[in-house]
Amino acid sequence: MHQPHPLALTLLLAAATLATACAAPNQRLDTDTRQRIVTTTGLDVDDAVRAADVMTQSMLNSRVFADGQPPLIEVSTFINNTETQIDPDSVLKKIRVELTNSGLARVLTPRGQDQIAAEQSNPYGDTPTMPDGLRPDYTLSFKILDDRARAGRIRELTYTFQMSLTEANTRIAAWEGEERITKQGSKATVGW
Amino acid sequence: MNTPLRRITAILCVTATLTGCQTVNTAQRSDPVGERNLVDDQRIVTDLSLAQVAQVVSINEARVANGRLKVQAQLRNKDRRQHTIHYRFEWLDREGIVQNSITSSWKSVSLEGRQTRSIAATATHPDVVDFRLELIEREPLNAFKNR
Repeated sequence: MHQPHPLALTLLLAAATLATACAAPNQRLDTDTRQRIVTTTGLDVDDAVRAADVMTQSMLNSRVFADGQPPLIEVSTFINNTETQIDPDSVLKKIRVELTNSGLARVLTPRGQDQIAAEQSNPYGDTPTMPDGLRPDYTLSFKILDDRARAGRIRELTYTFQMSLTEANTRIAAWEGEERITKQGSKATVGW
Repeated sequence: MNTPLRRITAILCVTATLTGCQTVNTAQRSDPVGERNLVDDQRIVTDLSLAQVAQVVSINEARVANGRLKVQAQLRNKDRRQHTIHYRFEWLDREGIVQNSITSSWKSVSLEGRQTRSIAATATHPDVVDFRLELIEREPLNAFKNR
């Protein structure tokens, strides 16, 4: 039987040791860290956070919240005009949390979720109905678009987030916001 | 080095200089109408190279209609080259406790050569009375970008 050369064995062992020693260890990260991976194939958490951040701040400076009385807001429509499936809550939930917890607004739980929550807490009871007279002051509509461009090996993906707060009674827009997020990547790493 | 090669090298150098070091010219009212409520700020510099690039010119604050604190900082790129600076505002209440908020997330601002740009943020919590601005230049981990 052919015996491997001792030098070849040593080199092989050294290479294996180096490969395992240099591999990036698995780790938990602080979610707020900037050391997160930037994906170019779709909407990532940081994109959603930035969109929610910018939209919330823009909303804050509108006349909707000027008088200090928290308005009642209902999320009305979500339109996803991108090529990928996006959970609207990836952005909307962050805005809802910020508006609700800071006392800036009262937000109606989306239709369906309130019934599920009620059934889970009281499976044999009556499902709640909206009290008479409780109507949202504003409705919040949300739309996401994407735009893809290429130049040689470089691919570019832009997400456009559009939101509108509309007076429920008059359908007059009280606030509108738009935010764009652009990412670039090379051909080998982008999935389109 | 022969003459055509020398000429091409010279053209390439000039082109690289022109594209890499474009600076911004600015025009504004000589006597600004808006009155800014400037904040006396204290600076802690741990990254000298960043401080030599991005200078915080001034910080001013205001209260928006619903009483929330709004802060604006003017950043100046002291370099002739374009730089991207990452920043975030942290919000503190009367007891100096940091208020967690989505408006404290890291954001980026691109500064052309010698350009001055404003960055602003509004606190969502009514208890916020103070702020802290953090700046960093290091690029985030970017495993899938421009490889």
